Amino acid sequence: MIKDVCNSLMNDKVRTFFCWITFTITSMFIFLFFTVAMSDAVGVTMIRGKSDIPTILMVASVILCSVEIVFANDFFIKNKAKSLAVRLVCGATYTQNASYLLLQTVLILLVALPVGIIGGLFMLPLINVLLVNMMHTDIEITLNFQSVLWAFIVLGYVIFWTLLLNLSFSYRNSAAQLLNPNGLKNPQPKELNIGGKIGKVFGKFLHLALWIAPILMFYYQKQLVLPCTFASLAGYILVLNDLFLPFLNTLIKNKISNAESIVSIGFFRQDLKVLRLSLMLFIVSGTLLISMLTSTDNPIYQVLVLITYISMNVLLAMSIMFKFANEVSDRKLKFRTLSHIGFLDSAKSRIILKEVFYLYLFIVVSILIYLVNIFATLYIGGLLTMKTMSTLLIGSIIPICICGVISVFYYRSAVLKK
Amino acid sequence: MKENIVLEAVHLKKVYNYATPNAFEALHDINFQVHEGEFVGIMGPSGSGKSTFINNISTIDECTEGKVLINGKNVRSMSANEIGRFRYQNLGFIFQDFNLLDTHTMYENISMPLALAHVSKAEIEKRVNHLADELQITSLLHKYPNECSGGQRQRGAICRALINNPHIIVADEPTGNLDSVNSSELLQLLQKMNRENGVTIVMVTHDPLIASFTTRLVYIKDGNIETVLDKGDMNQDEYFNQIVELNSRESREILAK
Repeated sequence: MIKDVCNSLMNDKVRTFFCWITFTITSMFIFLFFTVAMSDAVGVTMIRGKSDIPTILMVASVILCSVEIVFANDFFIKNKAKSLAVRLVCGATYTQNASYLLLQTVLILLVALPVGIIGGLFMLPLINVLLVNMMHTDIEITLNFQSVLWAFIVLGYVIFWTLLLNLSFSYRNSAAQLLNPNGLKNPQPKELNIGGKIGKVFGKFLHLALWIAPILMFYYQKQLVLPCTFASLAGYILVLNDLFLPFLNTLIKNKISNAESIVSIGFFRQDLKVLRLSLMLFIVSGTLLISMLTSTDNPIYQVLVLITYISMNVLLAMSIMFKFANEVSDRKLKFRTLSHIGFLDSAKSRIILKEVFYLYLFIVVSILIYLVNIFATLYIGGLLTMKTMSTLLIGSIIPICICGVISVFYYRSAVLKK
Repeated sequence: MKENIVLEAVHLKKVYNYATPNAFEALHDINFQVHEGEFVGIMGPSGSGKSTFINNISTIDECTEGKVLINGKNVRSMSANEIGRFRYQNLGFIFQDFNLLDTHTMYENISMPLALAHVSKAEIEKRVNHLADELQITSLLHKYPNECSGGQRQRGAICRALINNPHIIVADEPTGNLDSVNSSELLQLLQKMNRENGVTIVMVTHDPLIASFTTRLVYIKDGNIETVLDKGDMNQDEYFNQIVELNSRESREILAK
């Protein structure tokens, strides 16, 4: 079994590496977070929290980490479906298959955990520098036993969560389902047509208003940034479904004589359908943390929120990347079909570049629409400095851009490799 | 008749994992010609090299030794650009799994070869609608492939294969995923295109009934062309019986061993 597990990990080096790096960053973040939160300066204890902000942050980060782990794990085990099916057909029991998956995850975790914690130890002096230089305090965060203990407990929870996911994956999939995952695809949702053409136009305006009006509300009520973001995101999804996706259909129709555009915009349209929820999660997480950042004057709390904000953005950008990678890993046959039709390798390369560019540009613009408005509101109200704004902006956009670049390389290796 | 040869394989050899300890010769020194307007069937047992053969003669794969000439031009001497251009100008592919992009509507799928050929938007619309009408899939044009049945998807795939008026259609088990009614309709359609429009068709199949729609049958076994059966003056029933007899003979030989 161990030999099988090691072979499986080595046969899929890229996915193994991505999974490892996710677990490493998660471990590093959780370790750092608990070290700061449980330091004498913040003083959070698990028995009775002193302050609301670190407690809310703790809950939010554990939830977001779990979501991110779900995506990373999904990406990791997707390729294992066939080998699991073969094992089932050969007579492996559910327990054997579950152990086969669990062992792979545990091995990755065993390598990721120490690296993450050592990385966290190296990051600790940087946080102290941040506290002195940026927040102008003389607080020093030191390592304490309680934080290490709780970091391990939370990491244990995350590991448990991952193991549970893998168990359910092997339990819910029969050999037939694993061998023929396409048979499970849902048909496209039907378009509703209420009130004819006028109703349709009115509906579109309504959706646009539902998206934009709550954003404008930021300027009137700074305290309502978070609920307004939630309200606006409902409008955002409606605009995406009823305005942007039909706009892409029209765009393809208008560019029908441009072969590369048809393919790249069509793929981009599909990516948006798959990634919209992850994008919303990114926006909600950012808004929540920015709201928390501005609701406290305590520099140590601010550092804690800042660490969480940057870590969450990195992890959520990675989760978007994993979901995208999951989507494109099924496209090898599609690219082979493109070759049969007459697309050259150079054209396919350009299609990949264009698709990834459109997708990540869309993600960055969507995030910026929210962040810029929130920043403007807070800046006008004197709650945010230019320096913090720049840090927050960079902390949001850079991880997305890096994930975009990695996506191009992964996409190419997944579909163009002979 | 040399000028009528559209496809020619000369001493074609295909070795997988070439120059490695796991090298496997799938095709051995095959010589084969397809004349303009022919409807050629390729048959043979599983693993005989049918798909390898069809992939090698249709620019999808590259042979290890020998050469493939299409319209007299050696495929090896063609640049990547030329091969790409050649595919969308001359070849139409039909596959068992349809190979439509499920991320795109039927209309977008069918338009792709025309877009590659830089046909104008108005002309694309005209040609797609005309062919879709002929193949009775007009109502499906704005649907995604996963919203259509197997037969409808195969019609969409045929529509995409035919939209550029290709000179050669390469079909790899096109009826493999279709029921008997849809299979029969597809075969009649291919036969009509072959007879009325003079399109050359090379089709791989397992089924003697489907093979009986062709004008010449090439039986491949263990990487060699074992038998070639010409329909000649035979009617479809006689031709079908000959194909069944050929298959039975091969099976009996295996049993005798």
